Amino acid sequence: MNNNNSNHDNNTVSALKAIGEVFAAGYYENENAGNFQRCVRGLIRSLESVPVAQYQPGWKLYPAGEFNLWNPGYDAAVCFHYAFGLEVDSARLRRKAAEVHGENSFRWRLVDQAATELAFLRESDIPPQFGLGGRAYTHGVIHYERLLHEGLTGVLERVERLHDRNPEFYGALRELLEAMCAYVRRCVESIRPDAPPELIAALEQVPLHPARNFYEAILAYNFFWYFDSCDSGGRVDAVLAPYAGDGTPEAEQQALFQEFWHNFDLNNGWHVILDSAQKTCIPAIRAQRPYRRPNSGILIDENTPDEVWEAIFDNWNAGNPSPSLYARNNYRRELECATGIGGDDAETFCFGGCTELMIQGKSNTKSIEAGIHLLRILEDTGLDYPDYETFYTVFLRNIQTQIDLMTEGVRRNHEASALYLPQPIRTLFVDDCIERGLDFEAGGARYNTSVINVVGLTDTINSLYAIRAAFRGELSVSVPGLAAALANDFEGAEMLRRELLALPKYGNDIPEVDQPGREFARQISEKIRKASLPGRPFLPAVILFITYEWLGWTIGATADGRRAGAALTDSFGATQGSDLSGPTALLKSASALNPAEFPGTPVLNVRLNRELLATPEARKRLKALLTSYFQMGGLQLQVTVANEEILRRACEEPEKYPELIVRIGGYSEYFKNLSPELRREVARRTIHNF
Amino acid sequence: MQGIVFDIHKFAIHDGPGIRTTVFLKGCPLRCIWCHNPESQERAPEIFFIPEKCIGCGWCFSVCPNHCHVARETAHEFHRENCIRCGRCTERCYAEALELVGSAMTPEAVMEEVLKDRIFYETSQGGMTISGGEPMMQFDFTLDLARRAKAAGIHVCLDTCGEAPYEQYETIRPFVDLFLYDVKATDPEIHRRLTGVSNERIRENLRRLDRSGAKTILRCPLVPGVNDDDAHLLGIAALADSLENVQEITLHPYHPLGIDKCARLGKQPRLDDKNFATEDDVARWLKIIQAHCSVKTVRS
Repeated sequence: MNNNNSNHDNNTVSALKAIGEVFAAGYYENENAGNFQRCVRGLIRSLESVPVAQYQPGWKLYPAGEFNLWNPGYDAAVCFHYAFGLEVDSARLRRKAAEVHGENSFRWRLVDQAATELAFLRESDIPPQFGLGGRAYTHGVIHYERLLHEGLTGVLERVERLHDRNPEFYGALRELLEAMCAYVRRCVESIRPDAPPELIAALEQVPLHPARNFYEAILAYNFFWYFDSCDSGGRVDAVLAPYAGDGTPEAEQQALFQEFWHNFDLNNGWHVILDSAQKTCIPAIRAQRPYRRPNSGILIDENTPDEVWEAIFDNWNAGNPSPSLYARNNYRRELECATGIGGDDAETFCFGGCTELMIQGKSNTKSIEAGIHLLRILEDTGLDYPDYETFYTVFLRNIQTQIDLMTEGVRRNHEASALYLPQPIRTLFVDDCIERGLDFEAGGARYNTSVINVVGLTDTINSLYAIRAAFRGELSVSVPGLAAALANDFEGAEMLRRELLALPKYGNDIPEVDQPGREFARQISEKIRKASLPGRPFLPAVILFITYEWLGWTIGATADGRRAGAALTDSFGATQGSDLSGPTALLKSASALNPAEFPGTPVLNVRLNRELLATPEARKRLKALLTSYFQMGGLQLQVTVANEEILRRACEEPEKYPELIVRIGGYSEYFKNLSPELRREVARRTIHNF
Repeated sequence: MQGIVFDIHKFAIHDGPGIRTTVFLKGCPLRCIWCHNPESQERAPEIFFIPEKCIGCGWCFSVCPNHCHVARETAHEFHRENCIRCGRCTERCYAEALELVGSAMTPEAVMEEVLKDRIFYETSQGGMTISGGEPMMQFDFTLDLARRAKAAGIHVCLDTCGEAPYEQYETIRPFVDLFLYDVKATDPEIHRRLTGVSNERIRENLRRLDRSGAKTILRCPLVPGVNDDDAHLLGIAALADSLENVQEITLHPYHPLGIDKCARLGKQPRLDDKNFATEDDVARWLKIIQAHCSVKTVRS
């Protein structure tokens, strides 16, 4: 690799530098180098120019607060980002060039050319109609456990040992690691006058060298998390637990977790999964109470101690829906079943993003890679068939066609990503990229999986029930009559709409709805799994987070009585306001659909009245309710605790309830941040009390 | 065999231990002035009518065999005096203005519904509760349900006002794990005034059940200013202490939801008090009873 440290920048580099685009400038230093090396050069130039993170007085963690290490101040149009390797805003790049260099000037043309070339790197081969909740998006969890054990210098040693095998690849990684170490040292020197000696002493040890105690361990965890641009944290408490034996009191652990979660909240960090078998989970749970993020979950099994349950219930009772519940044993079983991953690695499964299944430090999981929109396919299939069976056969065939198209896009996109979108940071921090000598996006990760989203599953199941009833002559209208009413968005057919709304619905433990639903869900899951690429299993998922509002915008009226353009159902849940038989019925219906068919993530949100947390007896009952779902094969439960009255009032005056947090799909959001439409939808979802 | 059932409520958490399914049967020998389930009093099915929900679609006008539904200018009038309670008008009332309360069900159909939640009974030590109305009014049906539940290994609670021949309690006792037994007034005359019947047989049945070893929870509906005087509260305490097998006293503070339901049935509420019992009321009740008896006392 040409280091190109000469004093003379080439024309493109100086044009980019002049507009503050350090990553892009680094990328253009040597156009004859490989793309991986060019991106590494961009990262190194980013690190060299990034200001040190400010020391926040009183804080024990560093960095702290809102801080994007790879794009400070969000000024750059091109930078590293975990989701795609690169963030490229070509329009902004041109705009900046026009401001500084003048439009159509020589230097503008150089930037314009770079903008076109960089934008090309980011172009996705996955057709946009499959971008449902994500389009080749990557959440990830780096190997925090290993990083705490060996520090940046330990990673450097491994890279150097292998150097001669591929000097270009490992040489680039070595330079990147050296730049990271240099950045850490620069930070320490800069904050030395202001920061307390304990922090400076700890920063002289981590993240460069192995952590030796709880404080150094969480400090290193936090620092590596910023290096990874604030994505998901994985098994934070389990990784930290061995360090907690140093006598750090629980209150002190809680204070440190609180700072870490505060950083998650301010930087929009994503998932962490706690472990109810670890004592450290309790301070971690308690520390979450004031914070929306991380989207924390906790692994539950029959041995989960009562004091952990109490800590969870206390959070819910305080109005915070975190942590949500994950069934450890069911997940382990389904992970092995879906991906073949077993043994010790299966023990370290965790979640990224909202709640997508992955392996800590060892997987490249596209989450969410792509998805299929069942209602769009259903609408396109139409109802012009002689009988239900023919209709259903064509519907399934159409779904297969869409899955095939999606899969081809995914395949091409992976080929392109391997060429154009390297992830050097994750190459350093995820097994076995270094040992294999391969970039994270080019097969370096030990496991590669893709989470494939299924949109509109339960809406479709309800619609299929109604359509079947129409074909059998059980409705007041014929099939063409139904088709016409749907086409006209029930204009002049309000009574028919009410008739459809009154039909049995998923979520009420009605076998006539749920059993055909189970078979349909199985067929969809099977089709998606069979489409898996070699070495990259597809993990079907059902997750509609905030996207569930706009995913309904272009879908016409549906046979379940839904109006054209109305919101879709939240993930694995029942249609808003249709689950009227209580929480046991909802959980029975959900388990009837077999969540294990969607191991990528089968999100089920239940909304509980606070009364269920009020007394020890009530909590015992609630625990029984929730664990029954896991006994029936459920994988995860997200819980929102609120009373109906508060939600209703918060709809009218959201600014008066700034602290109200609700679960939508797989993540937590402040109620006040939702659009008025979404606020109404959330309030409409049935609250289960008694 | 068929029973008249007006609700099967899943995840019932106020009708005995754990997570339960409560089966509500129609018909009651008492007429408590505060009754919160007025739709449970009559044995025959009834029609709920909520005029505000009517959208004027006209379905009920066309199907009613006795022309009970009449459009009078813009209002929908329901002439109950001619209603034979066939329920046809409710079948397609998607506006939910008309609702049939109570329908004939076989024990098999009821148990099919109840058994759906078996897993929740197992994890929570819950089960089935038979309530009403007064389930002993449909004794054969109630007995059959209790037998079937026992045979299926499900915990059974019977929610009763105590107004039935003792022989029936003796017959059903082996199939009931826990009686939820109402205590509405201590003085027989007051009891008659508030519920329409004296409590003498009710008390006697309770004592005999207790002597037979049957476990009970005493359920005490309390209405401020009506039956929450000290004499009754002390009477509850004394009664509980005089019995061997009382597991708990549960206080049920008055709520006015029955008034609304009376309107839907076209009936006049006998107690027109729209105020909920206050937290202060409940605290006072608990304090007095807890000070005078050794049985665990809780609010519902």
